[in-house]
Amino acid sequence: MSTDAIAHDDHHDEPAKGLMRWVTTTNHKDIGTLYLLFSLLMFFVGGAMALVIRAELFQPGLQLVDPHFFNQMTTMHALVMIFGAVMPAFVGLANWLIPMMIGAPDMALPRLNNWSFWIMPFAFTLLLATLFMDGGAPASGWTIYPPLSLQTGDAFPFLIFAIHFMGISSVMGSINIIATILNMRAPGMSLMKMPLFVWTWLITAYLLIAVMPVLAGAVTMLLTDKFFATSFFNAAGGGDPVMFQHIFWFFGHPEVYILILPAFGIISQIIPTFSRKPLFGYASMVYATASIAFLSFIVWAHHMFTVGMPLAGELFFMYATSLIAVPTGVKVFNWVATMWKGAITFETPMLFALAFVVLFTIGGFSGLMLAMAPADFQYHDTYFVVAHFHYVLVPGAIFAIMAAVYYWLPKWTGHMIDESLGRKHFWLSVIGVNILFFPQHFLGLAGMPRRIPDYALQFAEFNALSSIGAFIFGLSQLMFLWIVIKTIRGGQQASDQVWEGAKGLEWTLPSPPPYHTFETAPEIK
Amino acid sequence: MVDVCHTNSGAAWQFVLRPNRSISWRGTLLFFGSLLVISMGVALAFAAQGLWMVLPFAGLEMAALGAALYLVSRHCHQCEVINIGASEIAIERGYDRPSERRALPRIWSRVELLQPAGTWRSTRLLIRAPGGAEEVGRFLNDSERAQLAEKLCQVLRC
Repeated sequence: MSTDAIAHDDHHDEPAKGLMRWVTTTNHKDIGTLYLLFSLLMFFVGGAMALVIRAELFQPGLQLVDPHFFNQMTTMHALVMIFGAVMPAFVGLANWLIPMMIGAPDMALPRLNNWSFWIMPFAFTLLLATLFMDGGAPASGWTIYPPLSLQTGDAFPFLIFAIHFMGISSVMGSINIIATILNMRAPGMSLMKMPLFVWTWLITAYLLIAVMPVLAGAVTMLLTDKFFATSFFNAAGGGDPVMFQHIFWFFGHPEVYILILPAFGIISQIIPTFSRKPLFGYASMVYATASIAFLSFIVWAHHMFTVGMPLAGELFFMYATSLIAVPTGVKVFNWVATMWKGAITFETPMLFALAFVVLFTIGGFSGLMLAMAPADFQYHDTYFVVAHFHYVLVPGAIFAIMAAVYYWLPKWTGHMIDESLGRKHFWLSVIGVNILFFPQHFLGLAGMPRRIPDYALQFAEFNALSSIGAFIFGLSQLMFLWIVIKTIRGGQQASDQVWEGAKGLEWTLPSPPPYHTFETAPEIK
Repeated sequence: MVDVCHTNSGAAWQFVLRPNRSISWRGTLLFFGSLLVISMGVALAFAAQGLWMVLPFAGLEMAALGAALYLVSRHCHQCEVINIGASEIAIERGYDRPSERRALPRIWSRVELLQPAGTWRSTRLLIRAPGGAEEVGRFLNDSERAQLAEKLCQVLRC
């Protein structure tokens, strides 16, 4: 049976040679590679900004940068990491893996796929160019709350246009992923037979499409407030700055799940492989993912408990947020149950997956603490919040991406990874990340505010410790870069299945897979 | 995907060719409808609060999603029907219903499976008659095209 859809007519030519291959490619594997390389580059750019922040915070007082530049670093670090590193990495993984996992020859709309990638470098050139503009880069935090964000210098319109471009790229990518998953599954692959990674991406794409217009509208209204004398968020003109917080977080909270749901999918692929058992509770994992996505729409105001809202509102958002622990708990339980009595081995991808389960859960628990409205008044805008979301995003999303790279890199390149170096990278990362972020819980509980370049003396020790952890974690990522380069260049030949317990269509293909795969659709039983 | 229907006493054959599709048009509409309701509902709620600029972005995005789903779905709903009668071969094409018809004389028709010129190219299946040639099964994969060629050859005794 044929799996050819739109992709069919366009994909029988050999790839172009040289640079033009990458510029004009419509092949899902090429575009996946481009996304992943771009993401790696942005990871180091955003990481360098993080190291500037932690170097300044190594001891009290102002040492290295002035406060305005410090604020630029916190803002740009967040924007680069969220929109430039984590999201493109997941889209890259989706490009590489979804067609291979569902038995499709390519993405449904290959030209759109090319466009959605190539918009990204323009968006980030615009964004990073603001560092050299009059008034510097945006410095009001990634949440760009007015009226503070309206004080941004020449960078402001560039920031808004960069966000628009990132949004267009994300929406185009999501449309493609949805069209592919819905239409191009191999015969016999019903929705409930899809790998969890595909499910989590379908739901992520759904979320992205639902919330991106909200962000686009919000930032455009900021632009018109600044340049066209509107007053959407200007109290003097009858607007309401608090409404920006509502609209931003209506986008922002689903965005948080956009950053973590594909990670859940990755972990749900890796743990069964190295436990040599099928995933426990497949159906409940799907329903839990859908529940988390639904709940993400009704919890946004927990980011703004202290802004002032009716008690009923505080109670609603507190209870709704607490509910998220239920489907998340189902997931953690299922991962643990999958490992239970499994023949577990601890290769590098599994080590990262295990660290994800433990450390993401810590991030989840601190999230529950923040969800309690009365307690949040104490934690709000402190380093406790910084510790919480970094536990979710770094040993959460980023560890999952690293686990995915170690897991599928042998399939992509045909070479096994250097397991010994991989383990060293894992231990340095896991130790570094905990030294970096765990003390920040104590700093927050003791009252240290976030987004400050200087601090009171009583916070000195934990800050120094945190900075040491940052440099261990940051520098150890050079090892990750080296492992990736080394694996691409050579190494022990990988078999088709690569890992003994790996199951799924992608493992039936040769390693590396040919340029075009599944032109003849596999049969799914 | 190829459905073969054999009617009467060996004289008439029908081959129905369709690309693979893993969701029905109704399923696509349901999916799109659910996103449309959520996206436009959210945009309208914000518009009611005075933040109307979400609305055009939501509209544009839904139009793009709708167009993409329609295009892919339409491509997946292509259909080719090859009717082989006693004296002629009729090839009908269209989306869901025939919109184009071509007839070739059965007695002179030959089936040709052209091998690809390059590694990444597909085979091509032609039904050739003195009046011209007609390519069929463009959206099939190579193995399906080979099976179809074999079956057509048997029926046409070529």
